[in-house]
Amino acid sequence: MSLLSRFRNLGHYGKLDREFDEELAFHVDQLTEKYVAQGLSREQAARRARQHAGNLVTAKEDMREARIMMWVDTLLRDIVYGARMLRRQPGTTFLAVLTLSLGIGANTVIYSLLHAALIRPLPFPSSQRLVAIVDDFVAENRFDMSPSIPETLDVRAATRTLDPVSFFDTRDAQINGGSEPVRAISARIEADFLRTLGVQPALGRLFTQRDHEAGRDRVVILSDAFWRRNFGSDPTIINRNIVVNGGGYTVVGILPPGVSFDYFTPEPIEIYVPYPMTPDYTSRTNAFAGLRRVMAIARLRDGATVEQADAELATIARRLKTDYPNSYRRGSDGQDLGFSMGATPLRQLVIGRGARTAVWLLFGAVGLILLIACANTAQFLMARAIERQPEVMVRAALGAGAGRLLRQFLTEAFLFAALASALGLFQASLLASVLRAMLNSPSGLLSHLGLNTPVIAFTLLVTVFVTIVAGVFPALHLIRRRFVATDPSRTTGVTRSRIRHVMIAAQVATSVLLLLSTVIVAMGLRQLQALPTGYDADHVTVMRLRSAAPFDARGTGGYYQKYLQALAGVPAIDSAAMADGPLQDFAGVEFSIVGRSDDAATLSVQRAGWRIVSPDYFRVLGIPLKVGRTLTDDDRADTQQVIVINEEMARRFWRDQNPIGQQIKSGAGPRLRVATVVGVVGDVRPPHRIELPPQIYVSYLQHSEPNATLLVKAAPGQRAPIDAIKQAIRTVVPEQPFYAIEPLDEIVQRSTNTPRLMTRLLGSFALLAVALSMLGVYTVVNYLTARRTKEVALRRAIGATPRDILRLLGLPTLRWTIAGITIGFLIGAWLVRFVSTVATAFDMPRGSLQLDPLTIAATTAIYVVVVCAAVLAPAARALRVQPGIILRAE
Amino acid sequence: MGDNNKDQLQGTLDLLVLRILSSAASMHGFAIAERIEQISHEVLRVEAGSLYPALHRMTEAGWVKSSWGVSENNRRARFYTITPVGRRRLAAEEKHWSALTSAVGRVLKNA
Repeated sequence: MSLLSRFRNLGHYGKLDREFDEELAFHVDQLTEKYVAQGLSREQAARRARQHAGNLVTAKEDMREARIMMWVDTLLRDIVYGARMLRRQPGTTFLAVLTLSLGIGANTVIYSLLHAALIRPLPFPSSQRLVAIVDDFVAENRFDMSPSIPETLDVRAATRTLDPVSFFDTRDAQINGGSEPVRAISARIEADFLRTLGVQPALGRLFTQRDHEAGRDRVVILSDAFWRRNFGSDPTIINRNIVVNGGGYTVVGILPPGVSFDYFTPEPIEIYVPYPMTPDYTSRTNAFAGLRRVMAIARLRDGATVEQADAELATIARRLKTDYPNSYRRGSDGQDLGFSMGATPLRQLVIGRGARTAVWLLFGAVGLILLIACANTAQFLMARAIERQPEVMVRAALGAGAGRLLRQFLTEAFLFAALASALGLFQASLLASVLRAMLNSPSGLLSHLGLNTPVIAFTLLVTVFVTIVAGVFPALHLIRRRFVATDPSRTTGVTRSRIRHVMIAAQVATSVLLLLSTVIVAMGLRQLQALPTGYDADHVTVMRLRSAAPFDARGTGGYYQKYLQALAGVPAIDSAAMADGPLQDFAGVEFSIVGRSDDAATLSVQRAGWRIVSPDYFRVLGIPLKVGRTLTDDDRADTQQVIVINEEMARRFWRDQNPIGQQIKSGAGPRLRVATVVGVVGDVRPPHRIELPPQIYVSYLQHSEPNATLLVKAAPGQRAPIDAIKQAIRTVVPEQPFYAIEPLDEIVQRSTNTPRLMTRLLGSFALLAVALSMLGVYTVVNYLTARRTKEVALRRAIGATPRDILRLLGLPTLRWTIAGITIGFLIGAWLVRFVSTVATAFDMPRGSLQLDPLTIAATTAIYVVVVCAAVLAPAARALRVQPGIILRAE
Repeated sequence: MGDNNKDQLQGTLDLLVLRILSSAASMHGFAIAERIEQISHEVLRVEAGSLYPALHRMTEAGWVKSSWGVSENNRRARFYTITPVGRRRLAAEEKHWSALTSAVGRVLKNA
């Protein structure tokens, strides 16, 4: 019978029944006529015909079986029956469904995070063939670093697995020529960048290598959104001029709608200009040679795999190491940095290593919660099943096969799981919006966090999983003993309670594990936040601006000096400073120490943080001067080049000497500079970092940088007068725009977002796990106690003390629970190493993450108290009943 | 609906019905029953309780098809016709049956 006709039959049920009645009536009538013809009276004939026609009701039933999809019928009956079972104790059922739904909801929302962050493909053609070229420095535990431009060009010349190979970096840009001056994120791209992504222009053209030639490089490509917003979608924009950062550029192309490469910038990239392919950037010896500011991307050639590309890049890296040995040794002691290169799928790099690990950790956590919830559900269904043991035995005696009974149980488990999943999906949709707000991620990827088809498919899978895990257990359990005709209320249930107790131990172990993970991560976070920062972010407001100085001007410092002078008259300001960024982030600039050729450390290139600052920078941030002097406005372009260094740098490079007066050399060719150390200031720990990088501060009058940050410290008890500040600066440059105005402590706070979010999420999951497992403990003890009421009454009647009874009822469960706690700690001790690597990924202090006895003792104590409550509450209730009442009830 | 070979009696009824239908254009259930009784000299009696479920099973299996028509005494009745699938099935059943009966016959003769 085809499925289709089964369904059709189902729909025509009534009609077919009527037709069958008619057919049978015809048969009986014909038979009657036949008997009448044979000489019987009409009544006799009719009676005989009916007898002869056989059991019509049976026939009808048989036909129904033949016509109707039997399993649909049984299924419906099972569902109705199951629903009746669930309705029997609505309170308990609701609680059980609710706890399971919490587990499913947590799983759904974390899977949706996982899917959005790690699985959903990037919106480019064959995006799985896009890779990023990365540098690894194994000895320094730095991975997935950006390669330098010379490295990228060497790779491009040598590779046989990648084509095209390209790179880009991003910066702020100010654009004039549209409806009004605007700021946007611009990308400086190597000509093949957009082609590598597989993007076609909607209007005009993409860049070619010729656009890198001097005199031809003043061309720009605009994003669709930018074009619509600022040029009203005017198609004649092609070949027109706009002004980018003070220079004239010709618009050559418009990108199609929706094309946006916004994974590494706080806002989408809106305009694209050719990368300045000058020797400054492309040669290995010039000023910016060692800068790791670009990101290199490439497309796998047809037939090439990521593994092949990865292996090839490692080979190229070995050659580079031989060709340029000094570039790949640590400055301070000449140690090999363990340099290598590799290809990472771009999709992976879009979410950093730390965040990736974090997402998997969360997914593991909710997976464990699901197992705990499954165990609870199985316990619940098992308790229900045992209540039904007499009924099951009757049905088995009436001939219901084991398969039939198993199906009945699975249907009930499915009904249960489906209810919980529906509720879980609802919770997940709420949680997803909360999580989106908490993540507050710049990446467009996470905007897809929510309930979409793959996520719902995952939830369905979870439903099936729960059905099988939670349904098969009680079913098998019961079917195995279905012919054992004992009165279930009399069994002490030794084997039964062993299964239950093993489940309890597993649940407890799992929740202890989660609790420990949370404690470890939270401890790491606390230690990190307790580290001295070396600066005072209080009352400091930061705003970014881009110098309005003409494009190639040598001196942005002159403007900044005027800005600061204008601010001097503004009330409520304690101090103000200009810098090329708020706080330092990583060691970027390469230099060598002058005049120490005897020392291995000075032979190779050193690396340090680099910050261009105005003199009051140290005052604004409260960074103390240790030796010598800080910078002054007398350190100008025409005076001696000077630097101020931090204590860490002094320690590393001039351990036993006075750093003042020492000289360093940076850059090469026309940009070669020799600068003298004039002062040492206190260390500043970059937000949320463990290690202290060596740091160089240079004068804003000696170095030009159009992308600047204004730091203003408000006078004590005052708020930064933003409008007054803007007004003061606009007396110098009337059109000067500001953006990203925010308190410094918010910026610092944001840098700990991920670990704080992790701690919070893991914390809530751990609490959920503990609550669920406690509920499990409680349910089981409650159940076991209820089944032994008579025994308890009897024992009390013959003189057992309440203590004896409590021991009798609670001790087995307590023992299993403590076994669970022990197992949890044992696994936890092993797991601690894994969590430590996760913590390292967030720059958490690694060495400090260990299970100290105090943590173990505290966690155990809390847990034991909760367990005792869960065990003793139902047991104590059993004691309150008068033994006489129960015994008389027999 | 499944293979009926395991149920020998049911299989036999199917065989008889298919055989009757194979030599007629179309017949209603009563006529089929009558014809089986008649040919078997009233040895085989077919009850409605077995016949109609069998007919419906065979309809679902696609061996016969049915349509409503008017009987010889002007009553509405359901008429059954054998399908090509049914004819193939009949051939198979006949072969099976003769193999079975000759096997039984050999055992009875030679045991």
